[in-house]
Amino acid sequence: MPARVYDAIVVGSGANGGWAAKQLCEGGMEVLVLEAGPKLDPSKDFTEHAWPYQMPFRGFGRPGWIATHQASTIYFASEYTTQLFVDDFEAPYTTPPDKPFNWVRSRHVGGRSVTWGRQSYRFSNYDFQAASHDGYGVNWPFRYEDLAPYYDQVEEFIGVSGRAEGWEALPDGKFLPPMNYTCGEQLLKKVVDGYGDRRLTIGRTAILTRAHQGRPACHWCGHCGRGCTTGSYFSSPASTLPAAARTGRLTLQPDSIAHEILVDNNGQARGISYVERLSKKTHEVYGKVIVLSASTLETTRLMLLSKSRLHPNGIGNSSGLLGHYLMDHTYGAGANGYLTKLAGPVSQFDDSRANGIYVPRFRNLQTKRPDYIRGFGYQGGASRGAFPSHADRTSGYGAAFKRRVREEWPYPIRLYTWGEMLARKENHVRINYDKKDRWGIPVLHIECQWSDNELKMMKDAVDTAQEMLRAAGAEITEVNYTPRPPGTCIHEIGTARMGTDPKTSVLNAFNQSWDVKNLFVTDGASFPSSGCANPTLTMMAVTARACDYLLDKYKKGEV
Amino acid sequence: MERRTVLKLLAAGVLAERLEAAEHHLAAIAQTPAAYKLQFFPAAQNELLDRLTEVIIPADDRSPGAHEAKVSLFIDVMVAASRKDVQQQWAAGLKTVEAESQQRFARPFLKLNADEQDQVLQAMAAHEDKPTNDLERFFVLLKAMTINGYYTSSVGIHRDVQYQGNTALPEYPGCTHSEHRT
Repeated sequence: MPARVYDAIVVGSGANGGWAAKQLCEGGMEVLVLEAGPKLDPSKDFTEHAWPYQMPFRGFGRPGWIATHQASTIYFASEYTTQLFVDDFEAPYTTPPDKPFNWVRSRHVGGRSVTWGRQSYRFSNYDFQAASHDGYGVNWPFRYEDLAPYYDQVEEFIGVSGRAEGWEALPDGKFLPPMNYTCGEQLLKKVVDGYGDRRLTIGRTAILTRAHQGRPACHWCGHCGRGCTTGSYFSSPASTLPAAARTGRLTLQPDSIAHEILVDNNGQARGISYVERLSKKTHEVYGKVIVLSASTLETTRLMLLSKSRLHPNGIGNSSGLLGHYLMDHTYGAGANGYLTKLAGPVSQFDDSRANGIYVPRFRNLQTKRPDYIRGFGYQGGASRGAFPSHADRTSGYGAAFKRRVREEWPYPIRLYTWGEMLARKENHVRINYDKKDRWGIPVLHIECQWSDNELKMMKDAVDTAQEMLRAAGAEITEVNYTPRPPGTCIHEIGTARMGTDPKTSVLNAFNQSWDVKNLFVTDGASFPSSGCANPTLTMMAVTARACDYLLDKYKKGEV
Repeated sequence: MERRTVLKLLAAGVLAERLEAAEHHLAAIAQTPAAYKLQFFPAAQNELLDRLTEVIIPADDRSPGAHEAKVSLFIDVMVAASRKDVQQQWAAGLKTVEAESQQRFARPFLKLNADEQDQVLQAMAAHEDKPTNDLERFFVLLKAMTINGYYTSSVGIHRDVQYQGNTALPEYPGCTHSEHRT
């Protein structure tokens, strides 16, 4: 019996793979989704309602575990979620010792859409046409207006709550009702809006503030990111993958680690060779079209590993640029403080809202800074949680100490910077053939660091954050000007960029490989520049636009 | 899971078997203090730890203290899973407490009356911000672990802090004070 040939193979089942599967299945294609990891069991793997005392190590985790096994994920994995992130020993990568990069990965059905931060912002023409604005780098091969209908489609399906602001650098979307501000955020909003050139809005987040598309509204337990039993924030297993399955044309295959794209004599893609996760046996699957949504760096790793006679430097790499122009956003630069006038016994439900505030980009729009180009947005918030993180800064012991912890519960406020990272060719990835992962696949070598532009931007951003926090009545307790190593924002993008010229880009304006016309890359790898807003919504809109084009070409027999 | 959370989730269409399975899983991985067997500290040291943590976070008219919250067992869990050097810090730390007790009162800490125990704690806590010797350094470690254990216990969360979250709410109220608005 001849092997089955699918109409399309989608590699990866996260936000983008899930969307591609849905759209292609709904468009009539028979789709195979290959996922490297297992299917999650929400009863075991989701811990959103667990109390600390129900966890073996009270939520702190087995001492030393994350620092050794999940060092790349140290700012994100906790005892509640350690099962949702990759073990660095199983799936290592390398960096130069002086250029750390945190590559945070999830391998299971749903990928990082299960643990993502859910913040959902549109890019504007300040991002898509950034090179025209200030002369640095390249524009995207399309404008905001070209992507806007796809943003609409994605928002209307996944559900994004937010408030329309009419802010030029942050286009409004199709929103579900916005969430409410906390008291501390109201105080900060007065200050921020008072400047006139900037605006504070509630985080636009893929959490349902009312029932939507067959999914129930949020029940406000406050622990998104540990999984959601009701599927009330967007994740592909709760939303797009079931929609794809309803067509009857989806085959979802977990535990299948893609390691090479197979090509025919003409160099066109014909399938995927993969390693079965548990048995470590190698198999092949075949498809007429291949869509890569394996996450930015896994996608690029797979392409670089796919060397053949016609693609000696990796598939789709005739430009030599595959792996280059890696970006992230700045993470960890900002300030914390206490709003002294709101101190008092702990409030009741502050942290039941897994969302914060957003101050969209306001620098380098109509005016120009002398010290840096591009811009940043602030994210943060003001709220109190169940654990008294002020207790070990409260002196003494005994009954008086215990009472003070209770009664002098401070009201924390924080403002952190998500800044654009310039696309620079020297920030790149390549295959390290000297080291292999648990499945015998050569690992990725990542070389990436911040440039002066980002660091100068952080100086301005953190100074300005402190000024605004103080004006809101905060006593500053912690300031950090230096972003964490690249990768930490988990917004890694670039390395297989779109463009208008095959000599200077890997993909055309519709995410199609210039060299291999039945190969599409629809995740963050395709971004030519980073903007400063959280990228997942834009990736999904780009995926939707690419899939529209793909379906059209497929029906015409042109791919 | 609280009953009202369960009801809300059922109303949202979550299958009862799924919620039961989740509770079973948590019960299977949780510590069960009643049947807990010490893994690192000998019984006598656990008794000393139990007393020390209760002096740091005592019972008061609002809530029980570290003893009822079984903070010493939490410390045993964490230290047993820690590196050798951390384990040595704890073993040595308890010895410095006993040494201080012997030096001051010529009796073990557990034989001191409450006032005497407090005097030892005062010596331990003398330079909390900048500890100057092993005894003071141990206090910083012990206090941090006591805080971590107490405020993640059922006693600490529900009876002392009286935290109301991690449940199912009909809506997120946000700020209701007009004076905080524009």
